[in-house]
Amino acid sequence: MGMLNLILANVSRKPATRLYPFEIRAPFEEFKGRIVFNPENCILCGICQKKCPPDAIKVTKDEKKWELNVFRCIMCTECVTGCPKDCIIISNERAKTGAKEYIKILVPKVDTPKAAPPK
Amino acid sequence: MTTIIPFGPQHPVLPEPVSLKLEIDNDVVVGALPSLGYVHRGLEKFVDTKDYNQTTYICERICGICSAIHGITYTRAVEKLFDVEIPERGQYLRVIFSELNRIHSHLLWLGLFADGFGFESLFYECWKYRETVLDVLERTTGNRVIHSCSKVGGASKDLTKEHIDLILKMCDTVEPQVKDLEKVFVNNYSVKQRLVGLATMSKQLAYEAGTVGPTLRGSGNHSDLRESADWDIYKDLGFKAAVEKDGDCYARTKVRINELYESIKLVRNAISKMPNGEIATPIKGFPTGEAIMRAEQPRGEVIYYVKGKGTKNLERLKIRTPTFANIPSLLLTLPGIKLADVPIVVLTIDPCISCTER
Amino acid sequence: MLENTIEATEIKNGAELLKTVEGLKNDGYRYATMICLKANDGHDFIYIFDKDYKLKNLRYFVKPGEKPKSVSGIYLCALLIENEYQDLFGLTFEGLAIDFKGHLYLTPNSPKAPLA
Repeated sequence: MGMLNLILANVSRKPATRLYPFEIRAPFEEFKGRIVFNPENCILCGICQKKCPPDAIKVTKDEKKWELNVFRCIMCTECVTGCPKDCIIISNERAKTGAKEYIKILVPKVDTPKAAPPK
Repeated sequence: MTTIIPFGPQHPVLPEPVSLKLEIDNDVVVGALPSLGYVHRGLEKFVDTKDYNQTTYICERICGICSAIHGITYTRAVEKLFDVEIPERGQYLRVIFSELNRIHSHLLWLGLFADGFGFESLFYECWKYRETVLDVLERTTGNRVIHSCSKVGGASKDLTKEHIDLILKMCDTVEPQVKDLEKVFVNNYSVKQRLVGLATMSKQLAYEAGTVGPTLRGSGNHSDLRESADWDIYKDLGFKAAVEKDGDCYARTKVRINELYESIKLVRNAISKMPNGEIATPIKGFPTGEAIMRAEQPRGEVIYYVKGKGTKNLERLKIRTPTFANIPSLLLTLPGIKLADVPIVVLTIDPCISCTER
Repeated sequence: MLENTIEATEIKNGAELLKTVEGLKNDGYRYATMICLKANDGHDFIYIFDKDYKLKNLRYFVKPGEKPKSVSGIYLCALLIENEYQDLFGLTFEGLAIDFKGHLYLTPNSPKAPLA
């Protein structure tokens, strides 16, 4: 009689699903949604490119460009822990459908002048 | 006169594609021939291009259902090459995530199995209870199914006090729900009519055919890798293996339900005994040598072999997954059963075909 | 040089392999798996057997061009792994119980012997 009791109880409970486009659940805090890059402190060292498992990040030093392939990123957060200047953070919003495949950001890095040779 | 019917790659009860050509004679199966290769991705060749840290992410993605233990076994095998000991808190965190993974995998199997013999309301109930477990996993690690909870050197994320309260609340909610499910699987008249006496394997046959996991323990062999010397942390937590004697589909279902109770008890004990401290040790250098590591997945015994040659890429990685060892037993048990019972017998070994053909 | 290696007994030829495997089956060992590596032009096989949570390994070196013998006559579960190595390394085993002839995973238009 176990199954009959379960089914009769389910008749009086509210449904276990939510009506999706009209009722959206807010994402949890620790959910790994997408990568966000802040170019202020970036020194173009390339550590994030070396650590990325699917090779989704490309750093070009001559053109001062940081590029991310959004479709290849697996949100593993290796770049977040590896960056020496903490420029990359992980946010809990999911990337929307219809997002562009590449994100290209120019880094405003200032070239430091070389120190004068000692006399 | 026999006819050949394909139990095809696409079938409503199979979670992943496998093809069996069944030779039937008037409704009774006489012979079977398996044919694999629909999801072969060649993952063992990735070690040529990815270094030993990046290979952890590849090993987790071999299977979606049993992914945490693949990652943990790979990192333990590489730690054997470096000869390091990881701190105790890291070991307890790995145990907690392994057992949570086992709970969600067995609830998934119970639902699919009920769907295999046509009992759809039970399928919906099992997967509804599984949602509470997946919500807890999402709140603690960040993902529902592929949680990268371990890295070479220890665990990758720590648990705060709120996370621990969430896990204990989930255990208190799920345990009475599993008791309700057990009443239906074990005592219901129509379920027993379909399962008792089907595809019986004797103790000797199950051992010699090379089966592992609940398929081996359902026939009376006492063999569970969580009792071996590599995993003696389970002895401190009071672990007991679940064994049944009869060897038919009904006994294997009872083994998996008892393992669910055992996993909930292990999660509670591990949380109460977990010490404070570091969760990982730093690793320097490159791996050399060879090592073999075995672990107990929800489906059976998995064997990892790694060989390093002193550079940042490994030389060889070889994985033997549990469904690979259970498929030859299908060729021995399928002859003699009726065509309508074939989906139940194929599902009783818990086939995870993307693990089989990495 | 390799510091950590696994302990294994060396086997010299095919007949000795079959005799040792039959001895292990009578002792009550269970067939776990077989590992194939490329080594010095040939292939290195490591057979793994298990009883009561303890492993026993056998190491067997196959010279290039030699056809190794299959143990699927003694243990039926060995036929899947030996068919897989026929696909991936281009080997040929003698005496297989069910032989897929190199088409277990690979189709006619895929790369030949990917791991070799």
